[in-house]
Formats: sequence, structure tokens, C-alpha cells
Amino acid sequence: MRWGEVGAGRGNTRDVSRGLNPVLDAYRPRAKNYATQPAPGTTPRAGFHLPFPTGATLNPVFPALSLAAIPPEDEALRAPVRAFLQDYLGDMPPDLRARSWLGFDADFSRALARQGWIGLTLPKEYGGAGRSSFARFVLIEELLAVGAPVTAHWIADRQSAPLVLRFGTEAQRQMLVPKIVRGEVFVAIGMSEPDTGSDLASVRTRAVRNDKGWLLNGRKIWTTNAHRSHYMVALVRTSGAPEDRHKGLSQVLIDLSLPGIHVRPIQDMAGDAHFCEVLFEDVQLPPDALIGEEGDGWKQVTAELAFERSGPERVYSSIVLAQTWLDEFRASGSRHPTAVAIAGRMAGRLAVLRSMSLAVANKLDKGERPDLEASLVKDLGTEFEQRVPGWIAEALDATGATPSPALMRTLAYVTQLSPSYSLRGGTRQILRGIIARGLGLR
Amino acid sequence: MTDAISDEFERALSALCTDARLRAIEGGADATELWGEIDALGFTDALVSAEQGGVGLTLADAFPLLVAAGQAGLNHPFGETMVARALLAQAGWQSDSGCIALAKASVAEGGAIACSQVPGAALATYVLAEAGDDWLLLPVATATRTPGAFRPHASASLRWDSAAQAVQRFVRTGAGAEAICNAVHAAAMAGALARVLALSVAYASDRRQFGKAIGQFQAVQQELAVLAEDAVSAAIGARMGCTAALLPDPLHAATAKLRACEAAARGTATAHAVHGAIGITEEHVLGVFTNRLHEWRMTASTEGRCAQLLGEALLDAGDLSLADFARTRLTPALLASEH
Repeated sequence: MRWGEVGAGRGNTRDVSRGLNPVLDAYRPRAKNYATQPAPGTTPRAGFHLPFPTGATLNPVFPALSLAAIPPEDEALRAPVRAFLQDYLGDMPPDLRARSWLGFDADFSRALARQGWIGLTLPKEYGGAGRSSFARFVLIEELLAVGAPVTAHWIADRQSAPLVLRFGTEAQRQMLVPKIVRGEVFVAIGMSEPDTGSDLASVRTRAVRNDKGWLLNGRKIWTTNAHRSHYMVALVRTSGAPEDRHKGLSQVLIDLSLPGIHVRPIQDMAGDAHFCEVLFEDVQLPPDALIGEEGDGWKQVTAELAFERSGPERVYSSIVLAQTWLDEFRASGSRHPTAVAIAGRMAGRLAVLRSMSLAVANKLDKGERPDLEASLVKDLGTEFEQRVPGWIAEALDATGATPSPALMRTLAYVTQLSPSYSLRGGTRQILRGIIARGLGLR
Repeated sequence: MTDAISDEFERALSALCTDARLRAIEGGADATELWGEIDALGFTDALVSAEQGGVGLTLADAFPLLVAAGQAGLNHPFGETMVARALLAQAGWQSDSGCIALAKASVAEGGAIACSQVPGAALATYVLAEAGDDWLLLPVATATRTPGAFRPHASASLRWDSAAQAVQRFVRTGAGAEAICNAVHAAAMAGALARVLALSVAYASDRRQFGKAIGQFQAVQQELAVLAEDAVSAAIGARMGCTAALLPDPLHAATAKLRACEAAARGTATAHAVHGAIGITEEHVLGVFTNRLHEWRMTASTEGRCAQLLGEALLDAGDLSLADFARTRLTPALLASEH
């Protein structure tokens, strides 16, 4: 293809039949190809597209995230979900809704289950609705936008059920998944320990084989909802020593009603107690408590974390605060330029982040593993979430408005808890390390 | 984001837009030969309809070309030329191979037409200026010219005595200069940020201090990760801004430009921090790209103006929630050709 030969003739006298350029001539109809193709002489890196060969020793890249559209049949879920939430949540005050997906209401979770809205993407043979990642995206967006109290079933729906479906036995799937989908069983994640945070491979809680199954000893901390869940999926050491790090780790399913388990809720700065410390003293687990293969714990927990990190909840945690402020700003009739610009900035940033999150959902729907892209979206998303309280405070200052007590309580709550947005599910520094690895720097 | 067309274009640009050539043109060297070579590739008329001698691509389809031009550092207002040629072809103008800048003009009481700080105008043959309800195609050669602040040899503020100097005049229907510039500049900025990221990662991998590549220090890795986030989000935003048949939706374009400006502010600072002193020399090509990003940030619509535009639209949207506004007014529906 010699595209340099078009020639000097311009305007209407150009020979249109010859075309501008053989590549462009072949372009109609639009070749739909968002698959990443490596540029010549460069090495493709999983999940990344190589744009411009710089001639340098390294060809750094960024992920090819393409725009995705929600199919009409999935978009159709939005209206009934919204109507249900309006009916059910009624006058739930904004400061409680600002707890977002940390708000607990077991009755709400069961009511959602009766609508068929837990386990939306899970296979029908286990009670799920077998819908696409886009359907789930629409559902989650609507739940988060109003701050629905979803935490009871959130973890089980988001990651525990998918984990068991992927790595568990048929018996485990049959035992657990239908109950999760019915909103009858709530699950907590046992990862962090007092001495184990970002360095997850250093877990010391141990499950030792005995004649009755596994004997569990150790401690987990920051375990969201351990005090009001039925099960925990825990990462534990089943062989070797801590120096073996990723090797010798397994995941176990723990019935939290077993003797020897002591759960102590920990109060956060705002007075809520959503996370806990959990002590295991000679807890006897049955033989079928093991999820997946012994020693595959690291591989499995990595897959689980991908589920945890890739949803739109990493963008919407402050939306109730922003909306509560916007309602009062609109009601005031003010068009103070500082506040107007802040409103615009929030809207603009949200739109782009949402598109990025939707692009990740698209990749999940295609069966891809967008771990890198999810880390990137989570870091940018939580940065946005954390800026919202400062913006709201600035807008209130500028307009000199008197915020309602409800708005002030909501602002106070989000301000206090917002540091946790970039801690939970992988700290900022860890996520940036993952991105740096993707850039070839580590 | 890539496909066969942008691959071809990228390869061609890579050969034509060498670092030395970019720097020379920014420094005042003649740029007509480069424009001739670029125009001869045939991509400049991609938005012009097939019946009028173009390819009839949508702006959405042509998006990768806009990014590629920004990534290559092409000195001329390429995206502006593409859109201008499509508009002018619709108005019956017989195209020549000239490069066309694009800007909103202010019209003085005496009829003088002025366009301020127009990127790439000094390298262009024409400016397509929005004046009142019309588009005016004005020759750069007949204008009183003041060098641009960021790029004195490439950009300029221009003033014509009257609209009569226009070689073509037609009524504006649809989006104006601000929306068009927001969309095409956001795309070019996305390309430039990709290049800035590539340069920074390459430098961090090559430069050694304290016995290892500086890119192996966690502090540097964390900063470059943020630069990557900014580059990706700018690209997605720009893609949203360019999802149109030809003329961008003003709100989508403002969303794109806002993200690009925020990303560029942080990204340029990070890139220069990583490069150290050599990054602010004329000799190193980084400055060509960061300077370009600074100029585009300061070109209408600026970051603040975009935020204001979006905020006003939100307040004018009745009781539409913030989430619904972002989802329905700032997010384009993909064009049929993209499914």
C-alpha cells in the first residue's frame, strides 16, 4: 500500500475512483476491531496497547479501554430498580444513605432478593438470573446512586459466590450459592490480620489437617460484617511457613456459628461498627471447608480481588453527599460561579469515570481479566470520591449558604470516612504499584 | 483505540515528525514542506463526504487520527483542518491543500475581526473563524499578526480589518468553534499525554542513579502510575467528546476538554519532575509536547470555562440528578457504526 502516491491534484478534479488511499478505501464499512494489535517491532503486553514506537529501549503503553454501550435489554432494568428503591427507601435520610454500600439492612437485602436482584450474573442452575455484566452495572449504579443499604449481601454477591462457582466443588456451590441469591446467607472476607495488611502473603492464620477435617487457629481483622454474616471465606496457611509466602496458602469456608470463633466489632470514627476482629481458637472445620485446591490460595484470592476491584462502587461512594448538596444549591436559586463550576467539575469527572468503569464491565462481559484496568479505574475513582467533600465545603463557603443539618451530617460523615475509600480493597500505593508493573517499571 | 487506519497514519507520522524536525519548526523553520507531506497522505479530507472527494468518515471514526497527530507532535492544526475542510466542502468551497486553523472571533465595532492566541495559526494558510452567526474563511497572509505566547513561531493572534477579507463565508448551523476546538484539542491532548507518558517511562528506565534505573524507585513508579491514569482518562474523555457524525455535542466536548486539562496539568508536572533538568532544555523533545499541552489548556474553552459550562447545564436541567446528568447528557450514545 503506497499512500504517498495520491498526487498534487486537489479539489473536485481529483480522481475519486482511485481513492485517496488504499487503506481508507478499504475502510468502508467501518472495520470494527478494538482488539489490540501490537505495532511492528514491539512486544505486546497483556492488557495493554502499544501506541507510538518511540525508538527507546522500552515501549511504555497504556491500556486500551474503549467506550462501551449498555444493551437496551439491560438498560431496561433501570426503571424498575429505581421505582423499587424509591418505594422501599422512602425517607431514608441522606446521612444514612451516605454510608453507601456499608449500610446494613437484612430485610432490604431479602426484599432485593425477592425481586431477583441478588446474583444477577450468576448461572440459572444455582438460582441466579444469568444476566450480563451490563445488567449488573445498571443495577449497581442505581443502588449506589441512592445509597441503598446493600452491605449484608454485597460481598457474597460481588465476590464470594463467583469465587465458589469458579473454584469450589459442586456440593459447595449447591450448598451456598442458592442461599446467597435468596438473600439468606451473608458472607465476610477474611484476608487482613493484625500483622497482615497490604502484604497479604504474610497471613499467619493456620488450618491444620486432622482426622475431623481442619483445625483453625489465628486472627483476622477489618473483617467487614463478620458480626452479622453466616460464613467467612478466609485466606489461611495450610502448609509450610510464612517465609514460603505465596506457597502453602489456601482458602477455607468458615461457618461463623462454630465454637471457638470470637467476633469483636470495631467502632469507626463516625460511630458505626461495620468491621471486626475475629479470633479463631481451635475451631474445627469439616473436611469440605477447603475451597479449591490446597496451596492454590494465592491464585484464588488474586482472582477474587479482581472481582472486588472492578465495580462502579469505586466511583460512587460520595454521590449521596454531592446530590444532597446539589438539591439544596438548586433550591437556593443561587448561581454563584464558584459553586456552579464545582457542580460542573463533579459532573464532568463522574461522566468520564463512569465510562471507564463501564469499559471494565465490558471486558468482564467478554470474559477478559481487566485487572490492570480495574486498578487504574479504582485509583482514579477513589481520588474523585475523596475530593467531593472538599468541593462541597468549598462551595458552601463560597456561597455563604446555611446548609441543612442533614447536609452537614452527611458532609461530616463522608469527610471522616473518605480516607478509607483508598484503603479498602487494595491501598492506593499497591494499586499504583500494579500500574507501574504494567508500565514495565517493576 | 487502534485500527488499520491509525496504524498507517502513525507509521507515516513517525517517519515525518522526527524530534529534530518538530523542534526546528517550533523554533521558526519553514513548515510548508511538512504540511505538504502530511496532506499528501490523504487523511486530511477524511471527514469530507465521498461525493466531494473525501472519505466520509464520522468524527468518531477519525478520532484515532486526531490522537495520532497529537502523539506525533505534528506542529500544524491537523484536527482543525479536518473539521474545517468538511464544513467548507458542505458550503461549496473548492478545496486547496492549505492548512486551516479554527477559532472563535471577536468582532469590533468598526468591523475588525480578531482571533486571539490561535494554536498553529502561524503555520496555517487560513483561519476558519466563527464571527457572529457566520463562519469566515480568512487568509492568514492578510492579517496583522502577533506571535503566540507559548509557541511564538507556530501560533498567533490575528486581526483582519473586516469580514470582507474572507475568501468564503457561510452561515453557521450547529456547534461553533468552542465545541469543535474542545473536541479536537482534547483528542490531540490525549495523544500528547500518551507521548509524554512514553517519554517519561523510557527516560525513567534509561537514566541510572544510585546504581539503578530511577524508574525502579517506588516514588518514581507511583508518580508515573498517576501519569498513566491521567493519560488513559484523557483518552476516554476525548473519545467521548468526539463521538459525533461531524460536529461535536458541546457538552460532550466540554467534558472531554475538562478531563484533558486536568490530566495535562498534573501530567506535565510529573513528566518534567521525572526528566530532571534535561527535560526543560530546547534540545529534549519533551518540551515540545508539554508546551503544546499548556497552550491547549489555555485555549478556549479553558478548564474553568468547561467546568462553568457543565455546571450551568446541570443547573438548567430541572431536577435531573447529578448521576443522571452525567449519564445522559455528558455521555454519548455510541454511533451505529461503532456497534
